[in-house]
Amino acid sequence: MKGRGNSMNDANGVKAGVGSSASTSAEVAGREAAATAMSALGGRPPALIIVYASVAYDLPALLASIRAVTGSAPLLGATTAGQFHDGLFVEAGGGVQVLALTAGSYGFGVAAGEGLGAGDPEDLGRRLAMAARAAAEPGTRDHAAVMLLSDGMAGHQQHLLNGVYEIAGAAVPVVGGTAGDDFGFRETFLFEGDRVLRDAAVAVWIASDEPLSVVAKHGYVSASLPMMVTQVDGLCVRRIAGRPALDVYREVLGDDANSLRPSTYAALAQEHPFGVIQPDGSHLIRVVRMSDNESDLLTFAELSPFAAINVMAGRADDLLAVSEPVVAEALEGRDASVLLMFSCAARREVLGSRVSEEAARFQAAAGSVPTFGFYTYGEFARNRSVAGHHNATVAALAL
Amino acid sequence: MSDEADKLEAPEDLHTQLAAATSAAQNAYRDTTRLVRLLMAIGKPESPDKIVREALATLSDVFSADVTCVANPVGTRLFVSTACGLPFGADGFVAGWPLDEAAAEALGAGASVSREQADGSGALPADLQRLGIKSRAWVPLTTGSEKRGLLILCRSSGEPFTDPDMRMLDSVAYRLCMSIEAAQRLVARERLARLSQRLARHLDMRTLLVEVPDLFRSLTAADTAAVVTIVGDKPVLRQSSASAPPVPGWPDRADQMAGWASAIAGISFVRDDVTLDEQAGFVFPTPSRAFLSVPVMREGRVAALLNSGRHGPVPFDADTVEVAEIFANQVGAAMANASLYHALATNIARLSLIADSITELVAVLDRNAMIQHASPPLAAAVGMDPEDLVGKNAVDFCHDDDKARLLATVRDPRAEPTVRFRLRARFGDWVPLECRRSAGATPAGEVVLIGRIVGPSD
Repeated sequence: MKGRGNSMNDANGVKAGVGSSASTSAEVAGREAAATAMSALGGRPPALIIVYASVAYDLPALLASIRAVTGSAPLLGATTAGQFHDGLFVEAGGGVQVLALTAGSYGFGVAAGEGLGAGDPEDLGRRLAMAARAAAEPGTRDHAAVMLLSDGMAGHQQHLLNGVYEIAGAAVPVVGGTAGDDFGFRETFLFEGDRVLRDAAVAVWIASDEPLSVVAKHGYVSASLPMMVTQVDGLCVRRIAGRPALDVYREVLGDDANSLRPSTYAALAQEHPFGVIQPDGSHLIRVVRMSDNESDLLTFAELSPFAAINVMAGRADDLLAVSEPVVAEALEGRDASVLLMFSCAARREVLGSRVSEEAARFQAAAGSVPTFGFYTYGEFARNRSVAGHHNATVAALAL
Repeated sequence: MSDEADKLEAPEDLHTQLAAATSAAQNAYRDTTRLVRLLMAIGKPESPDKIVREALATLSDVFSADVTCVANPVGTRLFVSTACGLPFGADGFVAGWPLDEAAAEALGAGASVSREQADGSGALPADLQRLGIKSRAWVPLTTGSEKRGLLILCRSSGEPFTDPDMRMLDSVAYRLCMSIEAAQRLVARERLARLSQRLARHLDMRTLLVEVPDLFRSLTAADTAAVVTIVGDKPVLRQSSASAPPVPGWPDRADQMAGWASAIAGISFVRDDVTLDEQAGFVFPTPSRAFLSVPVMREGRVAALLNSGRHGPVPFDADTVEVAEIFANQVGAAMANASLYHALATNIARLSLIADSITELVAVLDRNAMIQHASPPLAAAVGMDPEDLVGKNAVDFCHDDDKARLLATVRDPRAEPTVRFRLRARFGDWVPLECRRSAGATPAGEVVLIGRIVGPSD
């Protein structure tokens, strides 16, 4: 299969090229996707390469074949739970896509750190941000953003973000996502240069002459009165309002809750995540899973003990309805070359057969600006305050 | 009937009221969980640094604050020590912010202050101007006994810090101080227990004084440390290995040193507002804004000063000063031990010299006849060096017929003090000796045998 790609507009002096391939051969897929992406740069050297790929590939071979085309340009990326670019949805289980960017008015610095799960995630975040910032040589550029990718199976993603925030500060928005593994939920991988990393995080510091902003929206609405989480144990929510979490959850969902059984996949739970009430009244989404017993619930990201939550509700139409506002807000006032996007694997469950509609609507809203993204196991979108790890949310940054 | 109909509200009004009630409930839950989350973050059994970082991150989260930080006043400026939301290397860390009127008011009155920035700029420090900060809160970090600077929250949203917000922040600041104090106390004691053991291994004054500065720097969580020994009235500097050479203008006399008046009274000297102009009066070549000097007293006199400094204006808290004083006592004891050991070693060397100079054969044996000391003439008599004999059992060199006699002389004070026995020399020949056991024995039961080689005519 030939690589697919687009030649991009030349905003901010930045040329962007996207290529993809669905070949099952890592060597062929990497070469095809990279060659197509590079061909759009008009012979200019790339300053940054972003790679999203299915975990099914021989990943070292895939990176080697991409690097054989792109040369030694800084590269970062992740394995995914499906990808999208230019309005095309790529199902999990195969496929690679490559974005090649010239520097234009930006300065890029890539860094990687290992030991996310076993070590101190805050310290890793600090080291990662320091190294990426140093590599970007921000110089006289007044503004910046960080794109952060991390192991999707690791907990404490907010702590990783706290560490990045400590170095970057409030003026530097953070966008990104956690890696996927085609819904295997076993092991995810990150890419940096020619290295395939596990239990890691990678970041690119984007130094800019203009302010950069990150947009995040989810489309869920509150479906319950507020409640307080009264007992959590890591990713396990044991009690809400002093009662077994599953009992409370079932009560809120009423008759629909009959399908909720321990140790089973519950599609209903994807439509009804928890929404952690934020100081401005908005919600930070936390996806709910069934546990192996009749009283607890599980989440993909830690809930703070005594967090105030609502049970949320969102159907396909609600979730798809944020596609245009996310893109419009991200592109507002920007002459962008590419729109980096991150959508959640959990949203795919709600979207069902309409999943490809989301990518198409992103691109339709973006017009001539290409969209480039993947389905994550969690999203990063931080603008104000330190909070910025989301579930079931769409995040975007225009470059 | 029509009156009752009038009283019935339209469905859209009910929806509006329901939305308002739901929103109010949501706000109430949010406010309740704010405090609980903050108290949980503060109450974790972590290091002081981690408690502060965790508290600042949680404050940023629950108050939607772009920047949360802890800052300390130094002169007319406010130096940030820890922050969530200020970039690494920001002015607040390095050059400090001007101590503005609101911060001064909060510090002076010991009460929290909030301000809204009408246009988002004005007198804001450049770090905050860049973020478009519109409202700020300054909360004194104090438990009454100890002041730890200010907790500062900054928002760009324009949402003011309300009275309930400020009451909550007051409560959080107080508890944060208590938590930091408890954690510092624990950490300081753990450090003391760990580091003071390392003093005991030094029986030599020189190596002791080489290690003490590093131990003291670690104990006091300082950036630099030094030991100043007082020789006569002259201060002699011994710096931490992490420090650079001393500043020019090192004082000639101890009484010219900062904090000397406190030292001679046996009291520690603490400053957290040292200005750059004053640096020469202190003992560190690198700028230290916080300074601690603890005297090491021996026999009522200042034997040394343990000094440590922090580059930032991070004060030395009471717990750190307390453990530093305990450590100084231990250093004093270690110095006394080193002096005594030195004197003892000198005596031993002197006695060894005497023993080695006499022509008599001298051996020190323990109760099992293990050789503890052999004089050179004794070793020469059997064709060996003294070190070849030390640690070996004399019985192993003794003729079989003489072994019991020798052992009896060594072990039994009632036995005949003079004993004749034969020792096997290096090449297997037998050397006949006559030795006399000394009158006394050491507390460990060691005896001294003094003797001579006997000939056939003896």
